[in-house]
Amino acid sequence: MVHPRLPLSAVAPALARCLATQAAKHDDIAIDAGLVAGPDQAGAMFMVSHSEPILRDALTLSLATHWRADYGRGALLKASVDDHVEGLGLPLQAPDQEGMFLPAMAGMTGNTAQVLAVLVPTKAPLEDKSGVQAMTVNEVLRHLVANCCSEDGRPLDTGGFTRLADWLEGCERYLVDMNNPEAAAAALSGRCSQRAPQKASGSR
Amino acid sequence: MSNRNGERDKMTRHYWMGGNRSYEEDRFFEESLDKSLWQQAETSEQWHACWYTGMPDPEFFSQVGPERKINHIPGNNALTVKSRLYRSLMDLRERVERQEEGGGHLTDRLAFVPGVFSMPEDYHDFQQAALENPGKRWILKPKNAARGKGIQLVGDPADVPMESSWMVQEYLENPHTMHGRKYVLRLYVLVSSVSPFRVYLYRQGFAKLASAPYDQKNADNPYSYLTNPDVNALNLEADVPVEFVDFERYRAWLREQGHDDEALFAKIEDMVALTCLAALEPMRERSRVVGADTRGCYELMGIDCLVDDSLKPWILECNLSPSLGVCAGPESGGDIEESIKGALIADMVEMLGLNRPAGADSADSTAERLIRETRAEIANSGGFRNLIPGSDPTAYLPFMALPRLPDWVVARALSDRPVKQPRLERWMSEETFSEDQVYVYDTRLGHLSSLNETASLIWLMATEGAGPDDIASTLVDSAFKSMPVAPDAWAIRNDVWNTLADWVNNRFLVQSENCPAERVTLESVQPPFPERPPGCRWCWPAVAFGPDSLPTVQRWSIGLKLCCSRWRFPTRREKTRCPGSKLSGIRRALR
Repeated sequence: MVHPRLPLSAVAPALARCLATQAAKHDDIAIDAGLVAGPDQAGAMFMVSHSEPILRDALTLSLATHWRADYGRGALLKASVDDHVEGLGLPLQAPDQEGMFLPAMAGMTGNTAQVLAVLVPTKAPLEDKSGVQAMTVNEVLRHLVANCCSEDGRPLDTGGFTRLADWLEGCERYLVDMNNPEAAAAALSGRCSQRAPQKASGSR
Repeated sequence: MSNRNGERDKMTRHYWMGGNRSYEEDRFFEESLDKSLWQQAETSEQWHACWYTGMPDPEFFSQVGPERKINHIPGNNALTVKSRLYRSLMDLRERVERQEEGGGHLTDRLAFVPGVFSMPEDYHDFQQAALENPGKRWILKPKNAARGKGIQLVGDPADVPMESSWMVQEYLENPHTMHGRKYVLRLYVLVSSVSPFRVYLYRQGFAKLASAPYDQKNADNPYSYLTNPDVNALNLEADVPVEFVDFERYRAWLREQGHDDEALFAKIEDMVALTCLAALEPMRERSRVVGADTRGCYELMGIDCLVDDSLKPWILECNLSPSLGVCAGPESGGDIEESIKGALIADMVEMLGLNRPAGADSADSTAERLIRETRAEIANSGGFRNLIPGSDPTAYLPFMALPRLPDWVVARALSDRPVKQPRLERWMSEETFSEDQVYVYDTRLGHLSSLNETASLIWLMATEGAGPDDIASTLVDSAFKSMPVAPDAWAIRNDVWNTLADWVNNRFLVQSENCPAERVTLESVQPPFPERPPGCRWCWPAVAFGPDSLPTVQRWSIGLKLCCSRWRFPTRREKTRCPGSKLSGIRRALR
């Protein structure tokens, strides 16, 4: 049973959530987050946190539109493949259309790729006009960890948590201003093509 | 209340009796009050002592305090709702088992409650248990009813209702019998104070006998397997349907049978103390939520205890507002029942000091006041036997999530031997650092919380093995250096103990049975503790910690780079260089 006594409109979101969180086997980490392919780097992608329910997949779809890139929902940080994630290819929730889902694109389903950056969307305007702001590992963890599960949908244990944090240290991490998605898309495209070293890194 | 001259008002105080019971049952409370000090209140608002049958609305608790006392403690339903009693004891057992790293002598002491399946969430588990134990019998009970209402043996497990008002309890097949009849002991238990925690068991009580023989022929006869007087009173075939045997006669009978009644009652006392401890944190938390000052709260409960044929006591249920009416006829223990219940309430009123004029404010410190009040209460306990803090005030500290500061202060003062500070270790948590902050990940719920600067310091020190008072000492030292006036040391100390206890309640931390070995090694290389700065008025180390803790304080200050109230966390590189623990880095610093 996924969830008892749901209204019909809530069945699809609950099912998607269930599939996104139950995907882990053994020491994998399932992450319920959006995935969008990078603008010009084949085999690399961006992960978008689902921590703000009201924003859901808006940033993923916005970046996909700007970059004309593939998108999907759900990621698996496999225990056996260092630093790469596998797209689960779950459908995304259409912005401003309750109950409407968009199927993931084929290029994002079952493929394994490196994550260039983890993005956390925010409705609060950022001072930086580029629309993005670097985040520490710990700041990103606060947004991401609640959507991460180990086998059977259980919260991460200490080993999983440490592995997630270590993995995040190897990614770039940005807060993204949802008031300025065009600028953010451009900034992300430029920064990640340069692969600049992260300045504001958190330490464990 | 004080008048303008600082003298206590000696005017008449008011009591109020509320709730849902007849005067016949409440009269003992009224009769126990000194008429020269008390008169009945005209309204339910203007009272100094409230005797309430059942549980009052939460608003009742907003005005309680040292001079307005009520006979209930918010959160008591952790014991008095049958399904929650089991859950509370299982939570305690789980924590203690973890403390002992898989079980041991403390965990074994908590095996005194029959298994419970709470509906509807445990329905499938119950069906599985019934399937795996086809010969086992189960008893169906309403979760929140009294007087034996609705209790019945389960015929077919498939017929067990799933409604949330029901639970199924493992049936104890082998009760000890008296004159061939099953009995249950009614114990009267008083929680007189939450902080510090004080628990008493009344020396008198009753064995409540079933009215039909406990044998194969009566296997399904409720007058055989139920002992509730309200049920047995309906047994028209019995010569004596309701029979109570007081503890004095019961214990004499046990001795005549060649049993060790002292040993049985020692086990019962331990069981009662542990049962009450299982509700301590729920009581604290609920009191906080409803805004109750627990200095005005106490709880008298009736605990039902079954004794099995190996003379092991089992707890069956805890009753809120136990019946104070006289159930048995005069020849069947009714006279004694009346005298015992009257004496029970009179002793309780005396012990709680309701008949003593409110005392004058004293110049005692908080610690001194708590110790004095505890000693006075125990000295006035009459027929009650004090279980917590008890004759060994340290005995139950490991069963508390973490003793709060009042518990710790009282235990130290009453103990006749040195008491070690509790130590803590991580349980269901993992931490991560930033430049100036600790984040704690809850591995049970998958949440990440950020701690503020002070909480971060407390976390780091606690997880490296520092005791609560050591941590408080560091904070007070720090405050001395940065504040123009002397800090309130008791308040800081109290906050540290409470913060750590909250983390234990969230299962981030757990009391550790083992002190870190490195700490002992380190103490042997400690230089003498330097003189305190001139003008320092803080005197805990001498009074409360004992001289041994002083080097510890200093050591941790070094470990956390404490300097003029500023400190920083070890960087990732530093942590990498000191594998396992910051202690090794501290040791190098000391050398």
